[in-house]
Amino acid sequence: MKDKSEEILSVDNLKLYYPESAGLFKSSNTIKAVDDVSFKLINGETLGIVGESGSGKSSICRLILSLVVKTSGKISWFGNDLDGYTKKEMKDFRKKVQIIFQDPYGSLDPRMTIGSIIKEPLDIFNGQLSKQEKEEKIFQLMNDVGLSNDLFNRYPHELSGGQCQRVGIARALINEPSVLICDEPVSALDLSIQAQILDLLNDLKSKYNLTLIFVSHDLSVIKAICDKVLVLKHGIIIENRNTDDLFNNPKDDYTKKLISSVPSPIPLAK
Amino acid sequence: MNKQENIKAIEISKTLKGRSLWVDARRRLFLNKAAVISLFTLIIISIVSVFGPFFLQYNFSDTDWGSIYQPPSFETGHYLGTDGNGRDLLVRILHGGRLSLSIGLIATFVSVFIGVLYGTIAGFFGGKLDIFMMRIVEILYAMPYLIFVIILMVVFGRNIYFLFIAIGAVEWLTMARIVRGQTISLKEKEFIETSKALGQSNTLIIVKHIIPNLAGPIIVYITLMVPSVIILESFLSFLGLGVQEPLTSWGVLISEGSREMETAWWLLIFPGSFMVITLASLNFIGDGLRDAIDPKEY
Amino acid sequence: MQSIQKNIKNSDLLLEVNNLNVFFDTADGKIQAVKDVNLFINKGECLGIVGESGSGKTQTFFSITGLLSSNGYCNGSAIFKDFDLISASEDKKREYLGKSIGFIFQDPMTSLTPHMKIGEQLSEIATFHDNLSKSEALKRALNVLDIVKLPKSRNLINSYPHELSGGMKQRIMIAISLMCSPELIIADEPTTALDVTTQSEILNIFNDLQKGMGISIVLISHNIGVIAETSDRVMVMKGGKVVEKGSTFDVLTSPKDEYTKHLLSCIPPWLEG
Repeated sequence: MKDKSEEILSVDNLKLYYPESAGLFKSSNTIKAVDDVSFKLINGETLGIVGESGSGKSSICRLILSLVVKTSGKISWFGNDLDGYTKKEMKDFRKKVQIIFQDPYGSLDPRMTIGSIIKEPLDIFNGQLSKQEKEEKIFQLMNDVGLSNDLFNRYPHELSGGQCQRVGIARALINEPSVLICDEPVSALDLSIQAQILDLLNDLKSKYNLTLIFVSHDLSVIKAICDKVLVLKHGIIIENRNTDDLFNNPKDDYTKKLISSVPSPIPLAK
Repeated sequence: MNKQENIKAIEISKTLKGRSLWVDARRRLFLNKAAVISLFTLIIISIVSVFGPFFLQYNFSDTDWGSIYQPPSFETGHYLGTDGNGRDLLVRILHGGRLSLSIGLIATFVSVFIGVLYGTIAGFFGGKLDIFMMRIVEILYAMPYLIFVIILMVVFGRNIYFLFIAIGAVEWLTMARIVRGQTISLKEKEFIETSKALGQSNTLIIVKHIIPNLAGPIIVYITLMVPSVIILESFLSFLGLGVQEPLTSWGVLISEGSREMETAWWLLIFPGSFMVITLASLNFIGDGLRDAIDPKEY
Repeated sequence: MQSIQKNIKNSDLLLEVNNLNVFFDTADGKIQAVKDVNLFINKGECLGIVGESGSGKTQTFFSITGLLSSNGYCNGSAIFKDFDLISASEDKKREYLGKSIGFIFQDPMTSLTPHMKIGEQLSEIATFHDNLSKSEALKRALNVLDIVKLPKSRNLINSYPHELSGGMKQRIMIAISLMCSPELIIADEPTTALDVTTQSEILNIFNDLQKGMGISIVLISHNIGVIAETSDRVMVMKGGKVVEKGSTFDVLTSPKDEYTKHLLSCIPPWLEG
């Protein structure tokens, strides 16, 4: 058993700036999508990142996965700076850190069957497995995420949004990663499906010993699933605290405003 | 459930087939009457062009000096009449069809091959490479293609295979642009990002994810490109740059026919009809495919 | 119960929908999206429609306002002040739509024409329905901007949609629907694409419209919190059918239908405290 307080991933002074295209004769401004962000991810926790649109929360996910090139700062994996990684080490890192996206249909290739979508990561990292071993693993995963076997040869457009999101989760988990980044995983789903996916993520978290980074604009979802929360505004972290602390006594005015803006489902007596 | 039963259940579920986007597209295509009739017509024209000449009593280069400029008649066996050299028009149209259709297909294939490769690379990698590659395309665009083809013909001689390549080399530019644009919008999609995050290699991302998703627009464009290539060949033949006698193509036949249309109307009407029917069919199929592959209503 | 209520407050009745069915012709055959829906809206009241995707909540109101896509058709009646919107001709319907009935869509980013200035988009509808001159229409536009809590500035009137934020665009959409002093506003997921802080500002505007100006509002949403904060009565839809309706307080605090109970149980628990 690993040390519970072990630090898996640390992000130091991460910045992502890019010039705003301001037209031919205007001076260009710099947009600070992510500005001097630092945080640590501890083994086994669920870290929530909450913020409104344009706060840079999705950019942070993409920066961690090196899908976009950072302006400056340091991302470390078990204390080792990712910048110093060789191609092979980078590939190992990618195997260990996986992502699921918001749009359940957009994140699946429409021309591929569910089976081959889930299989893709196995082909990349576990090419030595036989066809049958791979298939066994795929069916195992489909079972774990609650997809019935007969969806194996189906195509994404034949599935519901919730089922597609489950396919995305199965693909992310098939190589047994240690970190799963969830970028607004339930925002596009209906309320009852949201609850199912959140339950599933919680179950899989303990089953696969996952550490989660959970990005959402929805405070109720964050509250339901996260241990710690970063509140982001315009690329800057304004609070980084335990979930209960944050919701029970928010310090920053912006956090207070966010929390009080959530409409309550309990109607006033009229 | 024990292991045996489990494997059995899995085998059964693997036999259940999904309904891919292609199957959907095919079903919608076959609901489109104009496209189905056109497809049927095109298949018949192709089969007749390829096999027809074997069943006719005349050869395409045989001259029959006894029957010059003979109008269509069933008694002589010249069903569509003869030309100024007494050659049977029907067999020449079918031979011309072979040539026109194969130029259409081969030149299109060449241009699709170059265009798709070029466009996906430029679009996928982006940045400076993209700018550099697309400037080359623009420079080539700016060159009058006719001069380009003429130069190719002069340098390499009037060889029919060079005609294929020359046309293909001109037509790929548009294909490359279309493919590049589509690639750029595709690579923003989350499933491409997921593949990148998985550590999939760029080559495999292009082969496995980009090109299959481009297939729709490419196929539609092919059906529109084949007619334009056939017309281009006709135009070059009309100028005397195309195929040489006694070989013939629809373009050559039409250009000859137009010179004689006052005395021998059949020399223009019949080759012209074959070409118009073929081009119209291809266009209807293209329209049908576009609606089938990229439906807005559903 | 509905009919009794109707008789008592007959003068208050604004829109009454009876036996509404909506169908779509698809490649897989005829699909019924809305099944025998009955509803009514009184003057100055806010009716919330709750349902998940595919519940028919949007199509119900698309059919009433003639916005169904070309392969859709409907039957039944929708009486808006003695006028049946469903059997009416297109021309006749147009006299009501945009004038007495405003419609607000989910996505403010695509609801505005990108090449027209905000001022033009606001005044267009008033010059069309009320035959106002351009300057009169602009004057009215400035007043309307005040209602939706946007600055009455020339600057805003002269800007283009892409220069505004999502929340501002949605306010402009509300402003457009207010230009011809409507009696009913149908808002289809008006805050779903917006941030929470913006959402609460927009909901406040809806409250002002209803309480302050007496405009009836139909609020379609999947978010039960939004419905709870704004509506007087609520209707829960599933699979094209109405499964439960009643006062918002009764339905949300003591639901009768299994589906409503299930929906409410899916709300993360902390918010109830």
